[in-house]
Amino acid sequence: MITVSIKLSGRLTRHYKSVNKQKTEWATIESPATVSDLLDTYGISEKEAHIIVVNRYKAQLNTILHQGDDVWVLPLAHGG
Amino acid sequence: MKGWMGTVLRVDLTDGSIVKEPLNMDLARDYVGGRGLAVRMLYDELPMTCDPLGPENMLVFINGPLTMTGALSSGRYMIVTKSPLTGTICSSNSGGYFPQAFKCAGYDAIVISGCSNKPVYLWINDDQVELRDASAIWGTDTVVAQRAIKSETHKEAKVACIGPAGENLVRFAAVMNDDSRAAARSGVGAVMGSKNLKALAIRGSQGVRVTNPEAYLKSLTISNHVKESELGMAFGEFGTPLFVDVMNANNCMPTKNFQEGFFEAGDEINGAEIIDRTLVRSKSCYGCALNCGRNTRLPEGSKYEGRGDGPEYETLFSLGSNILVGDLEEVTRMNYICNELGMDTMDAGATLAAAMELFETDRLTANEIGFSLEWGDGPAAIRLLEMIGRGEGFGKIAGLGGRHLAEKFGAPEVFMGSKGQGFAGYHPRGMVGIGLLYATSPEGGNHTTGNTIQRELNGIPEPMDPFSGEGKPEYVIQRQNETAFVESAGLCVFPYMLLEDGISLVAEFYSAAVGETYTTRDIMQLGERVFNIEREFNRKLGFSRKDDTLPKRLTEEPHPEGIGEGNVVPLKEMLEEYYRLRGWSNEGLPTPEKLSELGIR
Repeated sequence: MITVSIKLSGRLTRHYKSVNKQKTEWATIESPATVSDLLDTYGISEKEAHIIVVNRYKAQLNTILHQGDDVWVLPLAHGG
Repeated sequence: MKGWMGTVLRVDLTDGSIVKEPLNMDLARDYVGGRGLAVRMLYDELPMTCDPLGPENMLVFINGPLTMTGALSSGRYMIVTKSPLTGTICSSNSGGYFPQAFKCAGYDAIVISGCSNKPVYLWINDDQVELRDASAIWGTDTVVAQRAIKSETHKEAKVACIGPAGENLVRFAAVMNDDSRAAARSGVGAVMGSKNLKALAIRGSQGVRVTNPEAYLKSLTISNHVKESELGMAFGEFGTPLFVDVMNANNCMPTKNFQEGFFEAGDEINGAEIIDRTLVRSKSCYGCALNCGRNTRLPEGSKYEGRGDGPEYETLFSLGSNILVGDLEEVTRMNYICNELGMDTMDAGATLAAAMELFETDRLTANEIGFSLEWGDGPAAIRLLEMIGRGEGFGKIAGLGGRHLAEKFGAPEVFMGSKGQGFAGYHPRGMVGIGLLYATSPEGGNHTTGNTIQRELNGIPEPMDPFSGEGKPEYVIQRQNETAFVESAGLCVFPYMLLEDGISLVAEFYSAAVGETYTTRDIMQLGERVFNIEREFNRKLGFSRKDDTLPKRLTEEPHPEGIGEGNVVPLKEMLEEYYRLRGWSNEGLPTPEKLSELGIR
């Protein structure tokens, strides 16, 4: 098992498991695990996950996660 | 042709004359309205060498043929003039309900010239037009002024006014309407102030005639489509502050005067934080389904007080991450100060960031400012903003803009802008197309002349490598031409840029208004004409390739840790391709052949 932090943005925050609104939460997942596996546990579809960032670098759904990784998932957005 | 109201109002503040004249329909056909038509009018009429803050400069308030037609998000107007901040042509736009009153009073444009010998405001009640004494409200902030003028005129009047910043000729002074909507950029408020013109108050009761009104029923369907899309719902819920997370995650949120692209305290000032702590309600402009505006209030127990609109994303960057202030209450207070005193938050932030870097490097001292100005010091930033708006002490120097400040204190390289205007909140080292956009924009560091985010970050309709210059010149040209038309027509760029077929929809709406068929290609050519006349305007003032620049920080210093690490903006390579594709010379000037092709004489 590994534990990673997950941060969701915009309307994806509704997928947080914690009842209290959090800026990030910790998730424990069986290793080996990919970003896709993690998102499955949150009920976030591939289509919703427009931008995936792991440890401040761009990642993909098949990126392998490691203990302590910081995962940030964002929906589609447009500039102002 | 319908769509236009057919009348231009000319007001000479020197002699007080007010004249109505028919709109030149040949010019309107060629330059549409809004930004395009106003630039062409100034190109023909303005003494090019005039002082932007002198009586010879002209100020054009203008709407477009699609304003108030029922087309989606058609509540926009523009203020076009020679900018006191950049010395170039500038077009500053705003939404709200003022544009509705403006057009429904029966005018396509209001051209202001000369200078009044005392403070005045212009009161337009349909066809009744008069200049009124504004001595009693001169010096008041924009909230007080709007209320006072409404009570003096009509409860249905819509007011666009300046605050103390405009009166004090702050080079990035804004014109505020509908409480806190701002035609903020390029110092249009200072031009009003230089003319002793406090405000325009307008009440309009006429309708706008279009050729095919049924075509606009489609707006309702599209409106619902936009509103119910994932993106539309996100906009409605979070507004533009949604973008704090997007830019931060992409290492594109300008931080510490563009030294970095990631703000550690981003979570403290993002859209979710605003909802939790300050949001009262969301709000929209006339005819818009997006509801991206935020009405906010500083909570009880806060160290500051106030209620108003915003901050928008651009303010969260400019007065937040870019000066390292991660306290939402402080950023919100700064936003309210800018709105009340009538200043552009973006150039206010660019100026503060330059000042903080000058202070850090001992080029500017606490003695000169009157206090210390460390990175992240919100209370000091608030104090300096008030001094700028009120023209007090060091604020008088800072009020001349970030470029002037950086040059005066011996470090021009710390001003993050182009042609004297500060950049928007998209880090060019993390998306280089926006760097090319900033460098080639007719009015300097402006993101609204053709934002490249849709492909560079969102990958819509096709992904583009945000770190490579390949394909960017062509894409930037496309976006600049599209936006030039949209802003000339009197529309907001937001919804049309969200829709994949946005420009064909614009063509459809335009055709339905004016009663002639315009294809997407026609629309793009009109946009290209507008962009080129702006370039020609600037050419007459001596602007050329030498002014299409970015600070060395963006072209030579590598992007720090995170996405895009090590990247710089390949400006030189992109520029050469850009000029070639534009049909311009190596000096970045439209060739006679290009001008002839576009029918620019």
